[in-house]
Amino acid sequence: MPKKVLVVDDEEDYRLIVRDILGSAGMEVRSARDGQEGLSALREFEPDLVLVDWMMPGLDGEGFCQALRAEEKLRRIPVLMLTVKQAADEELEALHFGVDDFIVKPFSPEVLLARVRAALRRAAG
Amino acid sequence: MTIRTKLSLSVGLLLLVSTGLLGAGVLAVSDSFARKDAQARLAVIESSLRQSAEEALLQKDSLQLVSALKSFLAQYPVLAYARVLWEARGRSRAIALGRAPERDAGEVRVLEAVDPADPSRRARLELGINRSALYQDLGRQRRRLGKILLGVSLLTLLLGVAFSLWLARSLTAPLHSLVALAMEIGAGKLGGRLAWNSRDEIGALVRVFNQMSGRLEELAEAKKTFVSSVTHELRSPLGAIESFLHLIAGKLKEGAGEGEIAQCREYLGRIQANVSRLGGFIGDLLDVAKMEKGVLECVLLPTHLEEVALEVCRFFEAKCKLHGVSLTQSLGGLPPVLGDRGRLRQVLINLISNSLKFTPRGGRIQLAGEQYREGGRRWVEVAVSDTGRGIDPEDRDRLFKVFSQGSNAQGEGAKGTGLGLYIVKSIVEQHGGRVEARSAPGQGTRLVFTLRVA
Repeated sequence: MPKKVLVVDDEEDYRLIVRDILGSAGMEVRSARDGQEGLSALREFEPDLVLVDWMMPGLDGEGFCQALRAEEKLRRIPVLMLTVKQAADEELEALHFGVDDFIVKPFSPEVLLARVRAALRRAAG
Repeated sequence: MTIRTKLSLSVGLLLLVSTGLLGAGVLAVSDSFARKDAQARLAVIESSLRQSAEEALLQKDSLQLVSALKSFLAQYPVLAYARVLWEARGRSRAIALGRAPERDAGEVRVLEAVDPADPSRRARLELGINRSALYQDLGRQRRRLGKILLGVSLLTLLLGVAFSLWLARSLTAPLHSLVALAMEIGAGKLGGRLAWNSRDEIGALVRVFNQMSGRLEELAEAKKTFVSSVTHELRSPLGAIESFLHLIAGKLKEGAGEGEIAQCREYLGRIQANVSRLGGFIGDLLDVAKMEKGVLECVLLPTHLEEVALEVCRFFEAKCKLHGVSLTQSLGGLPPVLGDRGRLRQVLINLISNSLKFTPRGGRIQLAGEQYREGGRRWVEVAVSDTGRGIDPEDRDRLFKVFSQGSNAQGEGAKGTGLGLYIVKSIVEQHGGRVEARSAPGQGTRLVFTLRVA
């Protein structure tokens, strides 16, 4: 059964890029345009992993993570954060609100795939 | 010298001088009263002596006068000695009582008495006055007063210095905290405030200082926002371009089929869009930099707004069709305005692309204008109205600030750089006009700007 990945990003370009990369690797990808849409997609789609952008209008990546971690059924889903930020203390802050890993934009297809597979393996093991 | 030292020294000095002068004045007044008193006492003695002399003349008894004089001399130390010249029927007799001092610097008083029955009988009295006895009370009173004055002066001095120390403290306490706060700010810790709320000059200084501190904090915050916004606006499209290039390269390497080629074409289109987004952003940034420096030049010439509007409408034709939004203009009947054609075009483009972001499919964007008079001038008001989601009232002021957007600027396509409306505002103000947002959430937005009629 193919792994299911939800990507939450307000920029269409990145939704397209992630969908292409992960789709080519045989995963089923669903996308959402902001945190709110992402949360409703979570319940319906039940993904194995979530990729979420940090800076989004409305409910941003941080709020999305906190909402996700607050729900018993969803809290085990690994979350990878997409960001253009690079400061070390900001990464640390994000680890506090429950992010499993970081992927800094721009990323190469290999890096994205490797990080996603590693997170899925960790979650399965 | 600290304020405290200065203040207590000067208060101390002032009190010393004033109590000294006051003391001298009090002593002088008391002296003059004592002198008058002594003279009055002397006058009483003199008048009773004159009476005794007259009585002796009546009795024709010089011895009676002598014995009266003796008792006076014994009773009043003020009288040092007395000489009597007794004249009766052409003969005169001198009697001396007491001893005149050898070097007599004292005062001599002369009294004359005449027998009212026989004017040829008369007595002349010379009284030597002992000055030190006359004024001995004076010295005593002076010493007593001097002691009291000294005590009072010391007490005043003490109280004065204590008061000045307290005053100096109350003045310097806020100054010390101001210095500490200034040093904090100097060391880079921004946002400090002083809680000192007096109505005096120091209170005013503290208020100004607090404002300055707040402004500095705002500036630092603005700088942070600016850097993070610019970073995001530059990196995000660059990152997308890079990722698309990776994807295209990967597809071409695998030996592209029909489907892959189509995908590559789509990605190339997206790269194109991101490149123009970057180009537009950099152009806007340069404009903002010019505006902040005040070197954005507008050459104001009579301009027909309708011509500019038509040009801009053509520019948006394809985009509006894509979004399913209609764009109309009715600026035909307006007189020419004073404006820089290129900049006015930029104003309309920014306003329309702003409206386009927030107007759903099937919506309308309208450009309309009207003439009015204000302050003896003719003006034109141009409105760009849309049928979009509107603006929250609390966002209206933020709208035209650099790098800020309304809180409901979210969702597909609504994101912007936060520069467009700021640029509009700067350009319109450079033209002498003003910009305003008239809107309510859910009722569409009317962005209005004014220009002078040429």
